[in-house]
Amino acid sequence: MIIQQGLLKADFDELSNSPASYSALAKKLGQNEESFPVVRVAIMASFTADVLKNYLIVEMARRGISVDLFFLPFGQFEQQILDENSDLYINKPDVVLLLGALEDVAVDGYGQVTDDGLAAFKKRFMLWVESLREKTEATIVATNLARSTLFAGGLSEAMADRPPDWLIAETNCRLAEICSKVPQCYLFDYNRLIRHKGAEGWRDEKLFYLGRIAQSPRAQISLAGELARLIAATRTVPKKCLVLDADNTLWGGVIGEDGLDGIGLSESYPGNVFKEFQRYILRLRQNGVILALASKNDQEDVMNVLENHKDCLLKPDHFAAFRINWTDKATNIRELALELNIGLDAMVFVDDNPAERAWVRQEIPEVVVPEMPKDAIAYVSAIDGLEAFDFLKVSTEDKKRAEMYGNERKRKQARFKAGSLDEFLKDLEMTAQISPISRANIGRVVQLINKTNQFNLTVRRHNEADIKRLLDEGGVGACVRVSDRFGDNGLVGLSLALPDRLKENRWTIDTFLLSCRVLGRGVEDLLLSVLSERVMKASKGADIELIGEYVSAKRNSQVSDFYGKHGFSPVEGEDDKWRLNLGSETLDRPNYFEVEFLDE
Amino acid sequence: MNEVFEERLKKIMADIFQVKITDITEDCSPDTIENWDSLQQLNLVSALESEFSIELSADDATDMLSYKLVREIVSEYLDV
Repeated sequence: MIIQQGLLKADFDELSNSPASYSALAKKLGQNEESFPVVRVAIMASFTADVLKNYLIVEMARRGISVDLFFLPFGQFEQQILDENSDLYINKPDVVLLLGALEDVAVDGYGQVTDDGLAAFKKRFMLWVESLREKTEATIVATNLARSTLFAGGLSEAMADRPPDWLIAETNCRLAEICSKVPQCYLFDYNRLIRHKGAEGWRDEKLFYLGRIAQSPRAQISLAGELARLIAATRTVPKKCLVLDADNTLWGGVIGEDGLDGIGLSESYPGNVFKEFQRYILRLRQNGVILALASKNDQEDVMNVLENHKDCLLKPDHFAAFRINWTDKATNIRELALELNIGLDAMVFVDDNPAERAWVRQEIPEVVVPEMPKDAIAYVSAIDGLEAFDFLKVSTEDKKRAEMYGNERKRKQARFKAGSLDEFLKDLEMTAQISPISRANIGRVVQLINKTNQFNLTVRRHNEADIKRLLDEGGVGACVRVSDRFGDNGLVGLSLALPDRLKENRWTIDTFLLSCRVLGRGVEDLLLSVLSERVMKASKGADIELIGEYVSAKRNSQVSDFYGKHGFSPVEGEDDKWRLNLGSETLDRPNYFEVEFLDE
Repeated sequence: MNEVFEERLKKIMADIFQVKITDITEDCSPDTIENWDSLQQLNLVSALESEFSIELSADDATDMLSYKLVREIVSEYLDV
């Protein structure tokens, strides 16, 4: 996420795309007064990557991260990676960057791309990332293969049996597969970057022959910028919600004045600009961004556009919540956050009106409010340039999230009609699918563990490797997936209990959490009950003691008395620990769930 | 010699070597400026090319090993 304000904002505004300008700013950042979190980055490359230093320092600072860089001698991948005592590991990196240039790692003696060369590289690449994963917890970022020089392919390449570009693309797919199987390992699309920025002039021949530098200065800047973007994305959580103004944001003109036929939204200028912006918003929604609308208008007018305008791609169902009224936007945004159960710091507010932006910035500094260009043609790049919605992997869950929030809105309307809470819950016709933590769901499990803040008893973050270890040591896990008559909510709850090493038949609940989209529906009661059943099954005796912990964190106060409410009694002398004897007490399942067990 | 040109040159060199502009003296060279190593030499070449919109040769890049030589070589490409 690009920083929007602060002491350095002016410096970045003045920065020009030149080596001297970057060098001067890198020096200044060395004396920076803003305290950014420091990330230690180790860089291994098949060429001289040290020239990237200033660019990386500046581009990371642009994203609110201070880097501590160390460059290992070029070409020494195996020497560094396979030796536990190498400089690489001694430096204890948080991130390891692997930059392998095609010409260095995967061509034959004549500089040709061949099947054999690529196959050998795939093996090598797998060895690199897998050994790294074994020996360090650092995030791994590796480049894929790209042709950075227009080397002699000749005219015949276009009709060759197996053209080099095809072979490279095929190999890159394999590299992606390798990375996706290794936790905390990300492939950097170097190939796309070069195509996007242009291979011509990517390499500066003079720098290459004099210093084995694989990129021209302009390419160094592009590469550092995109690497910084990816590294930043591995360290930060993307924003969850896009709050949109309507008039002059989603369409040209003002609906209240111009009317349905008068607003700019069509297949020709200027309406096509807004239509394209709507397409972009829908793509964000597909990646899991929740949409909300905050507009000063009469509700019927805006709804009329969304429902009836033939060129309006955004429909009422695409939005998870609306605030169409004459109240000030800061108040509306606060209400939206409450309604959607997300933090203000997870929101981005887009409005063409500078006064509205200024007001929201002043009232709610946590909300990201990008400067919007006067010309709507630049709207897409203004939002994209924020890097606020940079998802590293888009899962099926993510793709469905926005839809689920839309369903939640309908659910709330239903609650309003249904009367008593019990009736409402029954009326939801909920099905809960219980499963253990497995290969099939571990990705989502890790995601939940690392981003759930509110209904999370211990806020203990685990990565994939941690969880596997805990399960290997006898831990018992239960996941719950909830669907109802409005749709599937996905995997929304997780619990993990660990056997006590010292005392037999004593178990501690290490992790217990619930996604906020199912709060207030008794899923937690069901999950606790199921977990206790599993613990009993995994234990030998009958006299089983279950310990629940509450670890106070920034946003989880709503669950401070969770165990107390479920019949646990406080453990004497230990704050925030609770005990339940499963031999004498039972935890009942709520009766309004249809429960399915996936593993039995 | 054009003063504006020399000031620009000194500013670029000070930025690249990350030193004060007053450190870029008439006699400075890799011997007097710690950061002036072979890597920064190449960065300097890139910076000069970018700032003055010129293209130096590989031989220029290896030759310009003092402030005086930098000035001399760059000015050959410019009307100063």
